[in-house]
Amino acid sequence: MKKFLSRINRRDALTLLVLVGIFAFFFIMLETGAASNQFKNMIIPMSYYILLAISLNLMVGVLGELSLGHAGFMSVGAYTGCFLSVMLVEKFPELPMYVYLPVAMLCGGLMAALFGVLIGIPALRVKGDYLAIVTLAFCEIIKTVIINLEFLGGAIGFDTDSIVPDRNKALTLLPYAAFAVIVSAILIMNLVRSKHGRAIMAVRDNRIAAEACGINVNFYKVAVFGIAAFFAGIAGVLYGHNDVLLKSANFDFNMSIEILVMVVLGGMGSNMLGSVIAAVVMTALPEMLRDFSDYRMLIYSVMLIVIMLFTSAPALAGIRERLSLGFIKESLQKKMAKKAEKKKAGKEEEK
Amino acid sequence: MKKLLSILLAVMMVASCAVAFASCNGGSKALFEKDPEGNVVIKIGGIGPLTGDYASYGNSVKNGAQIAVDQLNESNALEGISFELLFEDSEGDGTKAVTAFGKLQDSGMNVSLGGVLSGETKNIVATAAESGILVLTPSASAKDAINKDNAFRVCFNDPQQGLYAAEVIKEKNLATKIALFYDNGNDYCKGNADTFKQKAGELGLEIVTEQTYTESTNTDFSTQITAIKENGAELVFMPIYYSDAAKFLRQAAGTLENTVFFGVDGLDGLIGECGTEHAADCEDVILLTPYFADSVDPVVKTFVEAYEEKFGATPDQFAADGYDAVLAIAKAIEQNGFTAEALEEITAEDFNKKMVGAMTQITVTGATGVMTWTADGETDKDPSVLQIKGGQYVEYKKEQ
Amino acid sequence: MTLLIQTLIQGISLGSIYALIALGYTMVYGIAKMLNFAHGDIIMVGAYTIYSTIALAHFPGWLGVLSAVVFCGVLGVVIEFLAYKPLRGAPSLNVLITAIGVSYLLQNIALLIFEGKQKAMPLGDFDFPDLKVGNTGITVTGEVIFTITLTVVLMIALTLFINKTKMGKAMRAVSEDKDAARLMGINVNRTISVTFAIGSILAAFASLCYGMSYAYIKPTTGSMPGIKAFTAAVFGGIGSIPGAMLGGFVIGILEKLSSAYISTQFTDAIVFGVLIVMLVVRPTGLLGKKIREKV
Repeated sequence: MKKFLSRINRRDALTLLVLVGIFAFFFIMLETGAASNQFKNMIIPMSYYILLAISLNLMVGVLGELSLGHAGFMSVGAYTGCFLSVMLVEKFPELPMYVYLPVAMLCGGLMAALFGVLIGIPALRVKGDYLAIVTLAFCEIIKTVIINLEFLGGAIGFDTDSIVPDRNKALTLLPYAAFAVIVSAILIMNLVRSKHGRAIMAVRDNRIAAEACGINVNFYKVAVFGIAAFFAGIAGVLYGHNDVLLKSANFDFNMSIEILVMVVLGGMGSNMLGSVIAAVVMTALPEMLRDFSDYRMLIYSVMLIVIMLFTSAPALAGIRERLSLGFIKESLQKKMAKKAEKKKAGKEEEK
Repeated sequence: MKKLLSILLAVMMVASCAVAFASCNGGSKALFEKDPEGNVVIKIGGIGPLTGDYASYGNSVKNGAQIAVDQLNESNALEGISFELLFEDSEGDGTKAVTAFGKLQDSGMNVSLGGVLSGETKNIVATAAESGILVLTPSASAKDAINKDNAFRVCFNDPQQGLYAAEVIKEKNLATKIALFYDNGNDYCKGNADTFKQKAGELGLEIVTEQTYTESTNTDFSTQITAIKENGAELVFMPIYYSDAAKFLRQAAGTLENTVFFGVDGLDGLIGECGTEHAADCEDVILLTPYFADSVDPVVKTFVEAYEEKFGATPDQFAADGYDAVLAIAKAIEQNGFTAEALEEITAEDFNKKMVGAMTQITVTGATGVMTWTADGETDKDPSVLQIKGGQYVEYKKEQ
Repeated sequence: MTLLIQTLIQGISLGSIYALIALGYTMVYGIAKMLNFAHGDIIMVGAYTIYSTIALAHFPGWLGVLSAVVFCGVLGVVIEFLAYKPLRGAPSLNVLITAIGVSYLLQNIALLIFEGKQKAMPLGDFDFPDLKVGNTGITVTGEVIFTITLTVVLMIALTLFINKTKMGKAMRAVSEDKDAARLMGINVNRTISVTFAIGSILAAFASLCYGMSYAYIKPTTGSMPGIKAFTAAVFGGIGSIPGAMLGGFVIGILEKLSSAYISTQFTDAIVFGVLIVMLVVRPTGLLGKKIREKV
């Protein structure tokens, strides 16, 4: 435990604090009934998008492999977990949710991890944009196969209506979501800060050098695919329990892209805070634009472009620098120092 | 750079929370608002795909419902009561439909039009069960999309249509060798095809081939057409939407010359779709539909005229369903004998209960026929068998 | 046998469309090192331009195609200037997300202007007679002949342009080494703009072929062919022009063969499955350059 805690650095502590804050806020909003209906229905999606964004960041930001198939892992988890839940609820109607939901999450995650490892193996040979296509292809294959599996509902969709009571669904699911997301975040951040995490980043920065240092590159690549898929699978289980009808067509390329947008916008790399915040914002943004009715998605796309230009255009680096926290802090310190100097000078003069 | 981003995002996050907070004060508001003329406003909330792949369906329902609302308000059909349509985009996604439903609740929706697609409607119905609000979906046809007590639908359910179709084919002796052609990834098409297959088997119709496609392969049907020809099908049963049907017929032109094409209500709109450009493609197609835009029925006529004037397009099946849903809601209010004064007193719970209760008692004459509802939310109406002749829908008559 | 030949012809026709689009992906990738995800939507824009000029403004068919070619070419350059140029030097993933934003933007603009309902392409002027091959029962439709011919002509023209002209040379130089090219006095920005223009013009032609074969368009028309063509470009080795042509044809034929002989339901799964296997065997695609890793 001590060793565990000692690894958590200040940045991770801040991320955790923000996460706890977010969930505490959700909980208070729901419990007091202060949440609007729209917001209430956004809470669980926000939670699983946070998990999806962190897990994809592990793959894209930490391992440095672009994946366009995260929705595929999610759907494997969702279908496995929900199938299990439906079976359990059918066989044992008395079974409380705190038994079957965690079991479903674990199994969904494990099944997704299995697929993650499977798809991680081509990743040993295929790199960069080619790998992106492999993951995209994999996601499409899963989608097509599930549509043709009758026992998973096929095209009509898999009915998960029975597993979560309708009444106050968000509040029922929130504790599980909060637990899953926070524990997953701790595990992922812990992994990143550990010896293994450094090894993974070494693979990202320079594969050959890492290999020369005795790091088992193949092992780490496959392992990260498995781990990232595991958490995506858990997010999928949450998605499935929040929904009443799983449709495999929904887990398409566009959903993978949606998650990727969060990761890139939040900033790729070992800091997960960006992904968390971006997940919340990008889920809320299209909802906040509802008042524009017909122009909603138009404004959304323009905002996406503008945000990307603003945050990553090299020409705007100067402006960003001026707006950054560090700069503000520095300039404040400078001002303070000047003031202090003046005061000092004034005092000296008085003397 | 990352820090700036965090700040920016954090500010937006706070803003989003503020928005969420701001709209939460609606709970204590009166159930009904009043318009400037002092009428009590009944807010009807619809949800459907207004963007993305299914955008045309959502927009049709929205427009059709808007026509009904306009007509009701103009004619002042109910003394002291006016209607308002709120419509939110779901992008065809169940999760987004649920948040949209929340948004509508926040805006004070009194009656819900559910969703346009089956999947999203099932999600909405599950969410709506908590408040017990009346959900009357215009077009969600999957059997269990309306599996709660407070949910009803205007359209047929999928099994009904598949059954009717098989019966009609048998009865009118249209063919014995049948090819099935449908979108395997779409619940409407799949549901219809499944029941059709079953019923056809019972009636002794032979299904010689079953050809499918999916949303991602819905542009090129050449393989399927070749297979249908090879198997010697006399009739193609295609429970698909007109948009795909038009593409299919275009590509089948010249290859499947002596084959009968038979569809269900999704095919309505085919004439407009083929336009003058490809009018020959849809000639002789037979369809089973409760509604068609060229009908001489006075209700259909007024609807079609108003729609064409306002939106410059011929209303399709979805639009007619949306129109009828609003008419049914007005009828349910009438049935309850709600006056403006009574509505000001009523609680939300009572209002919802009474509206749901009225649904099984009313008879509505709409654009899609005369409808009554059973307690499980299904409607019963007679579909007509139509054929496209010279760019018009006419009652089907067997050629001697 | 008839079925096989028929299927192969259909596959080549579909593959031609993929190849035309894939060329745009691969050229832009080779020169600007970015995945232009908005490229698929250029086809949609091209198709709507044709639709507007012919069906709405009642101009003759050839003018519709010409206006699509011009409009798409200009649009490609404008998009590059506004959305991608400011990001030159930024991480490639950030540019990718911007491209996705542009893709959403184009789709939603089209949705606002033309609404979601699909439109029939008014290509009556391009109605070519079908070709019946003797008494073998094989029919080659006019659209297929036109599509394949147009693609071959465009590919020859493109190859000549790249190998014989000064601009083509500049493009090859920039894709080889941007900085060295700049030092040799090549205007890199202009070269990139020209690349976008050419890619978009090819997409405009693809939209003509698409419209002829499939007759109907809607705002999301471009996304699926876009993804397939992107796959084709990677399959052939992204950055390689012959690779994109080959990849397009292979994917098209594969798609048609698997739907004719195996299953129409599993077509996508089969095509993508073969793709994964291929990439594992040849990690840089069919004709892609082997990248030697250095420390």
